[in-house]
Amino acid sequence: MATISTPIARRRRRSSASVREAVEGYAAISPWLVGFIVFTGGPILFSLYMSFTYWDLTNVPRWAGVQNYLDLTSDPRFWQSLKVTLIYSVLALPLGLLAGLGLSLLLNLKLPGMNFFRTLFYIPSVIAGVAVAAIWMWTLNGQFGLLNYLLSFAGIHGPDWLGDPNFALYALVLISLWGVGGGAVIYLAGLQNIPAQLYEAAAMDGAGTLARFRSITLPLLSPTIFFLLVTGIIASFQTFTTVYILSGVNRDQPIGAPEDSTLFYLLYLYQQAFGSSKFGYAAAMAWVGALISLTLALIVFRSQSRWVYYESERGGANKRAG
Amino acid sequence: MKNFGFVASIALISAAAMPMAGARATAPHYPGGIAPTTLTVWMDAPPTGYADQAPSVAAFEKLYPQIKVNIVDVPNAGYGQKVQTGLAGGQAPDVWLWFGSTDDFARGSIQNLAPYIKRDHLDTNQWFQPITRLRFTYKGDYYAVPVSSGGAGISFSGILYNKTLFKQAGITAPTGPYTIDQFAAMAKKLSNPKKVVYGTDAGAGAWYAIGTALPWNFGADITSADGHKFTGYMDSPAMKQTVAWLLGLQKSGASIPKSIGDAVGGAYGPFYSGHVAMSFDALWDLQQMRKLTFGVGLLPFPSVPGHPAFGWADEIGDAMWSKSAHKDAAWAWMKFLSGPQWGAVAAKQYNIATPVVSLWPQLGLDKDPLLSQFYATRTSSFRLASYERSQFYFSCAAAFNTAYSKALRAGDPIGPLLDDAAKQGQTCLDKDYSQVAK
Repeated sequence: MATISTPIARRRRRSSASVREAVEGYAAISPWLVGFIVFTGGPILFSLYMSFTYWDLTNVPRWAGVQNYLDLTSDPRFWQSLKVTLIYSVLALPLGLLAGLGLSLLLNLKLPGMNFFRTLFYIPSVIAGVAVAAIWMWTLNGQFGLLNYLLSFAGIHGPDWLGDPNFALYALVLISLWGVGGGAVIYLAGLQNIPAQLYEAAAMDGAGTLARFRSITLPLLSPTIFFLLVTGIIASFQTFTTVYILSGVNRDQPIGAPEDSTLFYLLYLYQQAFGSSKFGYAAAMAWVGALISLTLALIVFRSQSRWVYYESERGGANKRAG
Repeated sequence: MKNFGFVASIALISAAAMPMAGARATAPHYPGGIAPTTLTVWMDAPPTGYADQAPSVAAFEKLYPQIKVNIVDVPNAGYGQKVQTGLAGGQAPDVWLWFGSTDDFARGSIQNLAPYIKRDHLDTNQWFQPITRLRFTYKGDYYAVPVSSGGAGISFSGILYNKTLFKQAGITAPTGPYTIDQFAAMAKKLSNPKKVVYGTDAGAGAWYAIGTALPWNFGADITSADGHKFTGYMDSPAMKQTVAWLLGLQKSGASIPKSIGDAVGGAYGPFYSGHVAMSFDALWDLQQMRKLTFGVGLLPFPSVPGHPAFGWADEIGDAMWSKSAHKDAAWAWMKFLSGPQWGAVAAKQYNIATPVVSLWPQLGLDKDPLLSQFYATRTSSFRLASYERSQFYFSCAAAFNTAYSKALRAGDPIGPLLDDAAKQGQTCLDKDYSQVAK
């Protein structure tokens, strides 16, 4: 018996094929899906639930409603931690981006032995945070530190960088530049992707070094800057190890010392969770922190149409116009 | 048929019961009546200073061959978090080295030891040094027992002094009680900033007002006895007087500036560098003290006229998980590690100050040139260290450190600063305790 292929039957066949395809697809990615649900999605949802409870980790969580979130608003140390983290972000992030860019431009020069310097500048990024903290603790010591020793040659009596609340946060911004080599390597990859002929054409048109940097390097590097900016915003809300070591070196220094001037957001969250066993409160802090960094990241995302140049999109637009 | 069924049933039950009866008759004798088991014990691992536990395990397993002790050296960083995570996940050790606050015992995860102590007729007052009662009890019951091994042991404390610096300054150390004015005068005379020598490190940070007997001698305390109150304590006139006195040592140049102290301090503090003549220390550092070459003596905490004088002591203990499946074995281990038998070995092997009262004269520790000086301080009255009274101390008392630092750095008047700190701290404590399950 001959079968007649009606549109309905064809659609049914197509839909059963697409269902089969979807099933196979999901089956193929199921290890990742299971991993995501169990190890990422599940804990994320659980932390959201936690944030609405009082939980000391050893007893059953008790429902708190939005009380943990309300308590945050009246907690002066929460606001202090937010302030410290935002000031740090505003200072360390642009400085890091600029320093990384400058360093990558130097490392991109065609000079002998450049690979050695590239490795050299990247090394700090792979050194453990604890070791970095120990190095800086000595470098920034007010009495015997290397920095103040060097400043003394210029007749400057340096402050107690880590012991004075007026300087401690700025000292940490300075320390953050230590890892600038990591960003420089990413910039370097971006720089090396810029077609040389663009520079040659610009040079033939009489463009100087600054003009070439402004009109070629910066626009073509803008996706890299964008990437580093977004990841930097997220990372600045996760600043922990170095500060934890530096502000917890002895019994006289509680977390965030001196005078809460280095009380970073994550440091305070950690203390609330593991110091005071307030896991619900800490979870609420985690969600507020995540929302803030997400908002900042979204603002940067929304702004990218004004300053980030994607060559592929421009090419696509040209094709469509053509 | 009915009879046959009945007889058959009896025969079957009897047949089944016979081997069980036989097994009971031939059951091996286990010391303490404890069945074979493996105990998991978590220790705070080196480099903090808890030495190799193999000798204590070997000695215990000789007494209880049926119990195997699995010591897990948990890295010191985040030790408390790891224990909490183990408790939350139902995977806690049977026994762990505990050094939390006493209201930790109220949370239900630590076994009340009263039934075991009662069962074994253990007279804890005779067995342990008095500080253990303050340190390990909650509402009158013991929840942990002191540890006699590794780097632990009872920790009496006082003011260490550098005999060489005293001799150079032509000062004779007081042989009995002395006052805060005498302390300040000695510190001033001992200081020689050109040689980077300072009389004391008291006042360089807030610690002397928190973790020593000094405020008690002023009639002050940072918190109430139950750790629930800052107001009325942190902001009391006596506490303001204590802090003002400490700050005065800094202002007069008798105390090492904080930044120098941090630089020459190292892991054991600036006293060990030889740059500071008098410093608070406790027996935790006994092994390090014995290595010092400049001659070390011990003074009690300086007294304040009109107030009783206090000593200061502390202790680290073993706690048992309330959900442990091996409680009898866990208790056997805890009793062994705290007891006189192992305490005698540990005192020699690890060079520690044993918490067992009877061992001090028995082993001649009370005659040891260094230990005897600390031992003498045990006769002073004790209080529980303020930071060991409340699980929320460290997060809520931060305002005190900030106030101290502001007064030290900027010279702000300490009175209003402590008033604010007490209010802030109290708000924090009230909020935190209101969330604790009743």
